[in-house]
Amino acid sequence: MSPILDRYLTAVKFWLPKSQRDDIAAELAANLQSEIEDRAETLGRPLNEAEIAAILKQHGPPIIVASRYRGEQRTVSFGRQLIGPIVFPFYWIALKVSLLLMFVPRFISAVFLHGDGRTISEFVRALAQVARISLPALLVVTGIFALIDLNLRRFGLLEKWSANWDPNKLPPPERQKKEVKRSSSIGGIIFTSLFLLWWMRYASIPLLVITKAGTQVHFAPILSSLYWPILIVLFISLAQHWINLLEPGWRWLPPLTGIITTLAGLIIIYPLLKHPDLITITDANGLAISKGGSAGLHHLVSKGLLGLALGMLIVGTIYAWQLLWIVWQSFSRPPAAPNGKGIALI
Amino acid sequence: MATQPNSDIFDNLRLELRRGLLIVAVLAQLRREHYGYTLRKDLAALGIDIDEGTLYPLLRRLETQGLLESEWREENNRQKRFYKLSKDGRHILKQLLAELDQINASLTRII
Repeated sequence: MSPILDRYLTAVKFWLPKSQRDDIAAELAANLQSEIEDRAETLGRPLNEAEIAAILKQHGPPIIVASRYRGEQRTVSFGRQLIGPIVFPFYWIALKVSLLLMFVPRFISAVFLHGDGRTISEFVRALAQVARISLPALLVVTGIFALIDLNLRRFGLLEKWSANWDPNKLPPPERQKKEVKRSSSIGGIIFTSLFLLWWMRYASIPLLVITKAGTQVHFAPILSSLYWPILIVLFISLAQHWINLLEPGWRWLPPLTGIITTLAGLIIIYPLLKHPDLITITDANGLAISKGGSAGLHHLVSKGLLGLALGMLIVGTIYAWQLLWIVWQSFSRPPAAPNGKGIALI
Repeated sequence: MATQPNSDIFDNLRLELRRGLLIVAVLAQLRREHYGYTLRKDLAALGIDIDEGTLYPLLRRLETQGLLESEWREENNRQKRFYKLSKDGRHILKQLLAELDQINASLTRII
């Protein structure tokens, strides 16, 4: 198989769902190879890499080709189409992450606090309130992606990108396999951005409004002193995901950033482990509810924080090991031989 | 209010007009077995030019809908996926062709 075709198919496979990846790639390879052979037969000679690249360019960029095979038909419409099938998969990931961040913690708290003698109807009302608070965040996510989709269509950005796309710039398959996955970078950007947005507003938003009477759960004031350190750690993490999206070959960056952020995280968490009240629970008038009434929740938060610290210690060790491995590999292996050019190897 | 250029309007309408007809053409051509590339070539030779980025995923979609059957087979030392019309596909094609005849007849009277 021609090296450029191999690189192209590897790039298409990257964007395909795992369950169909090999099947679709094999079919696509057979069709493209038939086209290349057919063209070679017409010309009476094998095609060179530049001619094969022209066929691949006509076929389209890997992400677009894969999106057609994914058969993504889902869209978001409200009178007119707001989010089209190309943007939809990314929107869907963002929506799920938002739900995880906005809805799940409140839901768990609602379930946990249910033990303090509330009736079922109060519990159901609390859940409805959790949904009501989470809904605006989901609308914001939808609005952001509708704006992205609108600009893609209005300025024909996808068409422009497809026209300028160059198959010769695709990295070799072995390098593509080792690169930082684009899905990982995109997921990281979405997750970190949402967390960052939430963190920047945490002081004014209660973690949970739990009853009709207006019981609210807030972070304790000690966390205010950690606002900037945590914000800086989140920005470092966000920058790493953006850099790796543009430079997926920088495999050393995620473990290096991981070591820095986990170390910073441990330093940030250390004073909290000694602090008995990490959350405050207030009634509708903003008056603190006695700790005895929600001892279980306090205990859960303390244990959770200890678990988080231990988890960070383990993750930091794994990052250090990954970084050492990458550095060792880069010094112990000879550089790969360059690919041949202008030779048809079908 | 800004108006869409005429060429854009024509392109959009042409796309809509072609979309359904291309499916009929693909189904009709697959009464005889083909794999992706030869199907595209044969259709092009008959005046129906379908972009490969549209045709190859379309074949898989029609198979998922039960209108096509496929099998992997070796030809010229290479494994290829051959498609042909299924029993359900033949039935649907018959209905679509009858519908097309009716639309054609009506259009002829209108035009």
